Amino acid sequence: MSTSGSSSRPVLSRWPAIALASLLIASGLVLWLAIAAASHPSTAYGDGASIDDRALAIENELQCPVCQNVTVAYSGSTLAGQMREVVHEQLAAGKSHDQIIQYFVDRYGEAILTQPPKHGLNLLAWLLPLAGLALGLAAVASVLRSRRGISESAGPAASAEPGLSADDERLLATALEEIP
Amino acid sequence: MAAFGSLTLVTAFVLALYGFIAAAIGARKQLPDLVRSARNALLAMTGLVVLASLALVAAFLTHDFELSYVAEHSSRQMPPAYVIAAFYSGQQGSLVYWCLTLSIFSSLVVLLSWRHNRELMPYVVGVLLAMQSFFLFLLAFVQSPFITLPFHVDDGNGLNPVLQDKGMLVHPPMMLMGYMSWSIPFAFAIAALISGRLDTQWLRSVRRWTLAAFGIQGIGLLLGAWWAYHVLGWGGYWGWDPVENAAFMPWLAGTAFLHSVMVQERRGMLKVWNLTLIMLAYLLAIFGTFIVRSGVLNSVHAFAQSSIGPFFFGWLALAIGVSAGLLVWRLPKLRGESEFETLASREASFLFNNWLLIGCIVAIFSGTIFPVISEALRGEQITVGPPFFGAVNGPIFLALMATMGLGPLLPWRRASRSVFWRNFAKPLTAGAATVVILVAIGLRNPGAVLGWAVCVFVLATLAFEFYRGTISRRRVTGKTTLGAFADLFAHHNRRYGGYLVHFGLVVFVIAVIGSQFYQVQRQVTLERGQTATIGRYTLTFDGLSQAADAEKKTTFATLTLADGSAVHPGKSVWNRDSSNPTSDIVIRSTPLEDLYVVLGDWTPDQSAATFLLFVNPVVFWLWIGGALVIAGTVVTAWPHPQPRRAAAAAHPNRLSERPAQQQPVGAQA
Amino acid sequence: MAAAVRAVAVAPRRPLHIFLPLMVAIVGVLGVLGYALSHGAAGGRTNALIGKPAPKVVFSSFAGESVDVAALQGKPIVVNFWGSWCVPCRDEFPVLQQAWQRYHPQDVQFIGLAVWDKAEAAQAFARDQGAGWTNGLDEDGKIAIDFGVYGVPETYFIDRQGILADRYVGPFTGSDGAAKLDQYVRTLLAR
Repeated sequence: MSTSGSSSRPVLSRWPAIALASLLIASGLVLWLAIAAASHPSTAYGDGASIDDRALAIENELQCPVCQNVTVAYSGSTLAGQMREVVHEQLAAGKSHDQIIQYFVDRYGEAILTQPPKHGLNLLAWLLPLAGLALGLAAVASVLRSRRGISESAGPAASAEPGLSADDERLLATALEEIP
Repeated sequence: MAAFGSLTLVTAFVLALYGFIAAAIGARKQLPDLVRSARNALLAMTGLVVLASLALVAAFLTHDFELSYVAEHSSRQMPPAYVIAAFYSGQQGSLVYWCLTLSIFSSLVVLLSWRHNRELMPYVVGVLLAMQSFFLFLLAFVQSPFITLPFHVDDGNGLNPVLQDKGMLVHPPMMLMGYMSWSIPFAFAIAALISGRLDTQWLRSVRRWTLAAFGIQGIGLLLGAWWAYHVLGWGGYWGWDPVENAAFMPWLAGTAFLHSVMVQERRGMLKVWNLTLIMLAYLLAIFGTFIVRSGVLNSVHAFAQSSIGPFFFGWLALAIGVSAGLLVWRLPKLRGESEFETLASREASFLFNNWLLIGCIVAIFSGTIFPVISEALRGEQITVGPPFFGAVNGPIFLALMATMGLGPLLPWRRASRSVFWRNFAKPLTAGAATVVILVAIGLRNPGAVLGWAVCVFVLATLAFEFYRGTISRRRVTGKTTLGAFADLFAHHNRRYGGYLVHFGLVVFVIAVIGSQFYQVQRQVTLERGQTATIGRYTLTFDGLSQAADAEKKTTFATLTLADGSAVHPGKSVWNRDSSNPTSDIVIRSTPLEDLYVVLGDWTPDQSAATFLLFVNPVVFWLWIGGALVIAGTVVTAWPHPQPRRAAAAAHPNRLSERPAQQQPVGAQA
Repeated sequence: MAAAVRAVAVAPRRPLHIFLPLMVAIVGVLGVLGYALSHGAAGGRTNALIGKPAPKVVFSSFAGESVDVAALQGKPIVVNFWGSWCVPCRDEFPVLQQAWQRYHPQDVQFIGLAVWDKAEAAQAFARDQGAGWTNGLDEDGKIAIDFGVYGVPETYFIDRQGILADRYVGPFTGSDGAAKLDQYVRTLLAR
């Protein structure tokens, strides 16, 4: 294995040709799928949309009150079906998206919305994940900083920087034969 | 049957309790005979639990409606497969199933690693039997599946219609087994903390069992997604339901562990952290079980309160207390053997990966219990639905993907600037080029463009890794390129199996991005003969037809597509629960997109009907990616025939960096 | 490396630093869960209609007459939503019967509305239970939605001015069920 260091250069120099090809294939796959996926206009809920499509947008914001985690749009339950009728009727009567949502919130509380409205205590729901991430980052940073400080003061490992690349290259090649 | 079943469960409980006590005393006082006796108790208990399970299955198959559990969950008309599946469809049965799988896994642990982990095993057996005692106590005295009805019934209630689907036969067993399987690494962790032994052998065992749990839970999650997609009829595969979240979180914690444990193996660092992660996975599994079963989240109505909630709560609190207490107690012994040197190193990338995974867990956890917090503080339960989870987790997933690309190409300890750029110049270029191309063809959604670009970047780094590995292998062995490529999986299964998992995940994420950002959905009401358009499809409504069997009446719609073929989405109204009909969804799947048609409501005279139509782009690749992840996990976990010593000896130059791997923690203290 | 290891060994550990906030968080979460467990999920859905004019209730009763609650202005009204398929509703009927017998002489009007039900089944149920008050079917479920009903039984209380005074989610059953209903009706009468 100790000989691998000397032959590592040719290996790496061949990388552009073949790896670029596989890269192109991989990127091609992604692009192909991306283009296919994006080829349809996404659902339009604008002014021109039919009552059905506008109703769907409303129903998707309402949680079916008698189901586990299903919106009114998709629930097969009787109540959800009747709610869909109410949404259609109110749209036909000229009520707006927000008015209809408010109609249901008045009766069923904020629990009927699929996501917590961003006010009051609900903000906490949005803040908790951020706080968790920030705390985690602080922890990671403090670990890295305190540790780095120590190892730098320890000297030898840090001073080897410039000479490392050749070593690293050998490591790179030999690392392959090693089970991580 | 009832008496036999109850007796079996009670006896199993007594055995488990005895075994627990025997193992505890035997380990403490170093009495091998007592430890062996505990082991035998475990094996005997497994036999009894198997018997009890068989008794319950037999009760189902013989329609023994004397048992209230059987009467509640099955009926005579149900097909036999669902009658058996009804076994784990309810509270009690699923606990029996949990107990059954835990017994079998425990026995496997005992049989497979008794010899390798002699000092550790008494503790492992003790912890496993403590868990068993808890479950068997619940089953024997609190929620017995063998309770008889005080009156006679001719027929049972039958299984919830939504559950009568092929998915029911595979998804719940996998999922429950997934939850359960975190118990094994947890037992090893507790054993290590109590005994103070945290050596190479321990690492091997824990890593294996965690991989098993990762795989099983992964399959469970995937099957769950598949089931949701094919049965529930909302056009999606993941709803951020508390039940799903509860299964996802342990899996994330396990994923974090599988990465950071490599840092411990290589450099002897992060011991406390790894133990924390592995215990976290189990605690999250128990938390999930508690939150799903106790009724604290079931906002529908409070009538269906379950009596096991307080027990699971107590068990969760106990497990947290014991884990945290042991960790703090052992902290001085768990000092790292080396230190982080720079941000640009493999170990730092694992740290970053862990931070993001934990961030995900925090986000999902807080979203899952926020309704409970809101109700406690404000008296109003609110819903935290998919939009929230998507918005919060999307960016984290993106960063995780980027780390997945960076990590494998960073060397251990430190990367010099030149190495860093040599490794990453091309993948980064590929990613940047993707952004340019996607924007050029008119994509404007930053999430999708950035997400796909990161996918290309990761694919590029993976391609580089496989390429490098194959070339090097070819040179060493003199095989053909293809043979060398296959060799990678055979001889370096951990590394390249891991890359296969990564590759599967990239494919999976490509599909997730496509289907999340570019799903098209419409709701259309059609008179007979009318046509609706969605994406490239036009569908003409040709009328409704009916079919009925003993259990349900099904209404089918006929919709004709432009190419002349017809699809028949349907809706079934079940005799026993007419207010909760089930959907027979039609999915036309191609590699590029799925057409997904759901029949909604119709007018009484059947002249018009409402449909939900979806075009779900590239969902096909989701299943491919998922299968690759599972395949990669299997490759990684595959027992390695050749001893690792030889490989290590071949690299004398690496030995200096190898941590004091063979040296138990205890030796330092 | 050896130097580094030794340096760390000397460095002071700060376990409390990391563990204390974690412990606080864990205890907090357990506290919330324990609270939820002891209280059960009440559903906790607010109804903003309470204190506002009650929604319209127009239906035809099982007896065949058309009922419009607005015409009953000036009388306190108890509206009970139920279903023939709902077991707790069955348990609740005797309690309602008792309250009706006590309070209908005081001019409290009881209205029963079956929701998510079939006409024949609901009618048979009301007849078998011997309900003395007016019962009917909320055929398309829109009255229930207008009140914000999300499960049965639910009971709504409308005062003499036609204001929706209060509501009760779940059955008036159990040891204190009758007393609870009594309390609600007396509060209504006092308004």
